[in-house]
Amino acid sequence: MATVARAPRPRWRRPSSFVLVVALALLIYYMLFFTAPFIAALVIGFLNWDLLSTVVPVGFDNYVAMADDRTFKNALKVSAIFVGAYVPIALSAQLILGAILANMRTLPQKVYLTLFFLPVVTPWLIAVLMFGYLFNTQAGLPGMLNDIFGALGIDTSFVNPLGSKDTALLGIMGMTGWKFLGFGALIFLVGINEIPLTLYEAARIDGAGAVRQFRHITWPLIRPIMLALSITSFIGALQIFDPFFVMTRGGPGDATNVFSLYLYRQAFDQFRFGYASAMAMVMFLILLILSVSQLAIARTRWEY
Amino acid sequence: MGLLGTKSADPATTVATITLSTTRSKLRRDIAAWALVVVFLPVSFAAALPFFWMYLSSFKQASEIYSVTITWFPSKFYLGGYEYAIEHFQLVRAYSNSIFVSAISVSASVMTSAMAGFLFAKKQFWGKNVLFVFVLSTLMVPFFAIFIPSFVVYAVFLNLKNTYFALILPNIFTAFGILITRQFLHSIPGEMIDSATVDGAGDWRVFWHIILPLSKSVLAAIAILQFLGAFNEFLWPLVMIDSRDLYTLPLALRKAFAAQGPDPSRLLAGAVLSLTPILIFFLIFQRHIVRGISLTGVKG
Repeated sequence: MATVARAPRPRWRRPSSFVLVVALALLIYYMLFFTAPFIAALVIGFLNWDLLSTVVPVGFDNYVAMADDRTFKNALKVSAIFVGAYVPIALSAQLILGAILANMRTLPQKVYLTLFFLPVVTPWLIAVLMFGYLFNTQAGLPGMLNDIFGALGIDTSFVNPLGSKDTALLGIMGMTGWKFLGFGALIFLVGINEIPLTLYEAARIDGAGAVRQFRHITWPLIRPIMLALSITSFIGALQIFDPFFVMTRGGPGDATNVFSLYLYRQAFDQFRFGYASAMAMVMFLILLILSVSQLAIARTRWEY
Repeated sequence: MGLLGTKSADPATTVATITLSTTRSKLRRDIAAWALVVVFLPVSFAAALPFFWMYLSSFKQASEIYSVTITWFPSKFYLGGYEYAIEHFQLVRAYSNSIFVSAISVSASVMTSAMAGFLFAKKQFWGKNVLFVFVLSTLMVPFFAIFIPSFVVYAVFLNLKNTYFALILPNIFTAFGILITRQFLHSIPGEMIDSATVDGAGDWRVFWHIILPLSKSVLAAIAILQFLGAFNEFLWPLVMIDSRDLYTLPLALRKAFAAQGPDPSRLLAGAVLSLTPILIFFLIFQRHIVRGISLTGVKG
């Protein structure tokens, strides 16, 4: 073996008490409240356990049961539709809003951003209350729209979207979009503001219009943000719980009985903690695959 | 366009053309920017509509809310909803609980974020990268993956059901805060720290006298974001708290909704009373939020 000159190894120094204390505290905390529960979830997934009676190990039975559980499969489907439709539409709307705000002067930008951020800081429960009435056929928007169209001589019959199996999920999707629009827009706005202005000036001098500037400058430079936001949005959207739990309670029928709600109910209504844990592992796997595949796609398609 | 077309060799003409065209296009861009503001007005109005509606309707009687002819402004200023909400919803108690829990969670997480941020940005020690990746990885794991066993640990093993501590403990370290502080401290030069170290100050003193004051603005941003997050949390308090005296605001609201009477103005009044302080808090501190988001340095 040829001897290769190696960089001198940093000499071992006794870590200071600060380093020792903080590093150990971090390690212990995350082991205790993160790694341990995660491993426990994996283990509980192989058990039959209601927290009270004795624990019965059942092997892969919980996972097998999922394949036969029609409500579970429905929950999986509903969640897939919700997440699959919501994330791309929401991200596009957020990007468009961010780009529009970026082109405004400081004052209107601030005012609009504040307006769009109000839903972000509003607790879900209050958002649910507001939309409960806004969606109400008689008191809310459907009635208002019917009146407006009626005055124009067009007969419409808009009704509460949450009342029908076909539109309930759509209603919650709209609400979720409304709630997080300002958040994503702010992230995109900050990202766009970091792009050097000289790039746009150069493009303008070359005669590129707004659309081409967006296509050839903003979009390529914003893609890393898009990727990060997309991954976190998938993780967030699949776990949305509050509006389903408080507003539709999974109904009508099982039309909005999403993964997170079904998992919660299996654990805290049916006391099937083993089954719920196994479901949590499935959720983790799905999100892991989604995240990794997005990263992989981004790597192959966007990096040259 | 014309600029590239004219192959003028005279630099003076070129400069003149550029100046002229930029002033003209600046005016055009100004007009375009303001036109955008005007065109956008209805859209933003639609976003704020639910709020207007809720604030106005909280002063309406049920008959007016559900009336066939839709009114915006209450025809008669009705305060019955507010009277009922104040008397029955125990909002003050719930608010105090929420503020107490959030304030302690935030103080703890801001402190630990600063410490861990300092650790990862400026200190060298064995296993540093592994520890950092470990902390980061917690951001990628969904809450639901550890939800059930966490409940078991808190409720059964630690017997922390119906305690404030159960709501505070999960927020003591936050990977998000650590990440932001680390990124911020990375960007500041090490000389200040080095000179203090040469003067014989230990890490604790450096942390206390240099790092903490230096990262005040980042920590403020983290604090606001964490506070709003902790304040609005629902699922975890839902499974940890049964006792009404310990209800946080979202739990108290849920209770109020569940016992929904015939009069919607009560609920709306309760919601207005709950939301208004949050919105005021947000309006006062919103620049920190924008800062916090810029600091996450979404650059990746």
